[in-house]
Amino acid sequence: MNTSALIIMLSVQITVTVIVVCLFIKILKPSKK
Amino acid sequence: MTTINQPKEAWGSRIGLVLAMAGNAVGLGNFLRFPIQAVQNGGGAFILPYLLSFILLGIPLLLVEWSIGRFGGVKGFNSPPYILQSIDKRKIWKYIGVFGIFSNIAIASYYCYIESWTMSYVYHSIVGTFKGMSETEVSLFFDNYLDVRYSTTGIPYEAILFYILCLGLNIWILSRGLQKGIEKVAKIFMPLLILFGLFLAFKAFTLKAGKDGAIFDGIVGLNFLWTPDYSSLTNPKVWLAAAGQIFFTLSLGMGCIQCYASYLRKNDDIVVNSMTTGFTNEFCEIVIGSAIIIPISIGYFGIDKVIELASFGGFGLGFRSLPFLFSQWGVVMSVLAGVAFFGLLFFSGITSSLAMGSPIVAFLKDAFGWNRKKSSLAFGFIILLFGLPTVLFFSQGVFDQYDYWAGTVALVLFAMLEIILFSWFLGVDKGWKLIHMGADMQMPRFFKFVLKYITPILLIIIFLASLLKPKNDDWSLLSFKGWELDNSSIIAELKHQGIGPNNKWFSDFFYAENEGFVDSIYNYNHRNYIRVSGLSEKSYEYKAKHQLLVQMGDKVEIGEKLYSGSIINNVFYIDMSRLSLVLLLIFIGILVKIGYKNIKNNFENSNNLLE
Repeated sequence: MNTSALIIMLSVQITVTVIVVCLFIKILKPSKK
Repeated sequence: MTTINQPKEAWGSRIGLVLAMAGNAVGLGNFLRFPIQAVQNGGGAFILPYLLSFILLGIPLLLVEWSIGRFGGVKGFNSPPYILQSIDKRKIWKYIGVFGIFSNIAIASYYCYIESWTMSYVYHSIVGTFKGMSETEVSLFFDNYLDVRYSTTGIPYEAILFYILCLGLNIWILSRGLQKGIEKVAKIFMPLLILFGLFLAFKAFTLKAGKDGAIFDGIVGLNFLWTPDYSSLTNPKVWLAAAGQIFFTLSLGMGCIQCYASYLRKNDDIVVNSMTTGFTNEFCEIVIGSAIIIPISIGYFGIDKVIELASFGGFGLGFRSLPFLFSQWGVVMSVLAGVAFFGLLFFSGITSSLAMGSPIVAFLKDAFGWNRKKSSLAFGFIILLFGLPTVLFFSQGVFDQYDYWAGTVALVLFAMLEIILFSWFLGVDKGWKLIHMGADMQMPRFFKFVLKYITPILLIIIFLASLLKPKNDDWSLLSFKGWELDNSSIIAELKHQGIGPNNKWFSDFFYAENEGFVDSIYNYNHRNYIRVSGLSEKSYEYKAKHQLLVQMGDKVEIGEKLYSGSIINNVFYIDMSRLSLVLLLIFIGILVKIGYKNIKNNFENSNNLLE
């Protein structure tokens, strides 16, 4: 696979996945309010 | 300032709310539209304007719609007209909120139809209808399916049957209420959707040339989709396509988000919840959506053919090609893949159509005090009334008209007006406080500036661009002396610019719309056709009662008579669908006015609530 295509694909997909996982962890944790 | 009422209905859990909101956003477009947009607009380079649009357009509008919704809900309103009215005392706002009902009725009318295709294709995947069919036969199956007059599958009026079945399911779920209906469905369907998507993405990724009939590895498709063409970034068309994709993928400007958010409690978090739904949608689009149809199609057809197929949009690839490709994977795997792909589309479709039904159900409750069951049935009746023309007159362009005016123009207009209401009438300072009321996380202050200036300006640009789009989306044509408009621009649409020589409702003659030679006069599936081939190829349907005026081998020019008889042209159906949309808009406006009076009469503190 073309290096620039691979870098763009992986960086975007990994970033989005990590953000989603972090946000879901935050949601599933009981709120301090 | 106001009497604070807790909404009568509320979300049962935070995860249920987030999944329902994500289900609203994740739709067919994530899997069928995004990959095609990426391929046609610079591949990997498209992601830059796309992500920038997400930050400058998507995130601000999500925050605005969530906070407007919660604000109205706390005051006891769940439907867009009265939610908007609760923000500013000027009476005009409830009429602008009419778009939040109108768009949902019009879009759900045809969206439920597409949803019913996916339901039907799940059924056909299970019973093995596509087994042994050639690529052409699978493609023709789709055409036949859309032709409601004749069934090739043994089920009479199959398209209508599945449409009514699908609508019935929507009505039933809506009537069960927020927690037992919508939330429960989201909790089951959303994880299944992601599971099915990951399964298909894995299959696409591991596709090997020479195995199961594939001619290329799945990686070739991924490489094609993600290889950046940086020169595309200088083209305004690419930036507008990215902004449009973000806008539609997040279901902005529809009134669904406001309606769902109106069931939040006063101090429920908005920032984390809205970001989670937004990023879940991006996950489904960028990670899963990009990894299915393009890699699988290229694995079997090669890049050139996929470019050609992609020019007809994602539906062509999804419904005409993929069932054939799945059938190459063996008996068991073809069923599993068919169920996974069309099941995934069905889950993404139904979670979105339920969101479209919610503002309508809420409006009937707000304005007339109807209960959920009664309102859900009314929703079903209205959708059937407006949806059947899209089923019966699909090929005459009714479907496209609904999609264009309600699914494109009205959304941008509504979003543009609501961001102006939020940032300029309510005020961005007050709005900022509203967003952060009960928030578990603080948004960067940069977004305050974006909310006030950038997002409204971007939406105005998008609206003007769709109004005045130059021919072939070529923005270099712009000039102070004027330019030729594209047929899909709003002004050109209104003028019927691309309609061609058959521009009268009723006519005694049907005229050729392309030039070339008559190379075939044939009958297919009980229908008669004349095919004219030249620079472009076009088949014209005629009926047995019509008198043919051309013969095989004749040369025809554009505007030359092909056949005579009593003819109803497509422009008649187009104008009728436009008229029905205008009447729908006026009708909802009247209902909103009557409902406003009812609210004032029924609630002692209505002045407080509304003003």
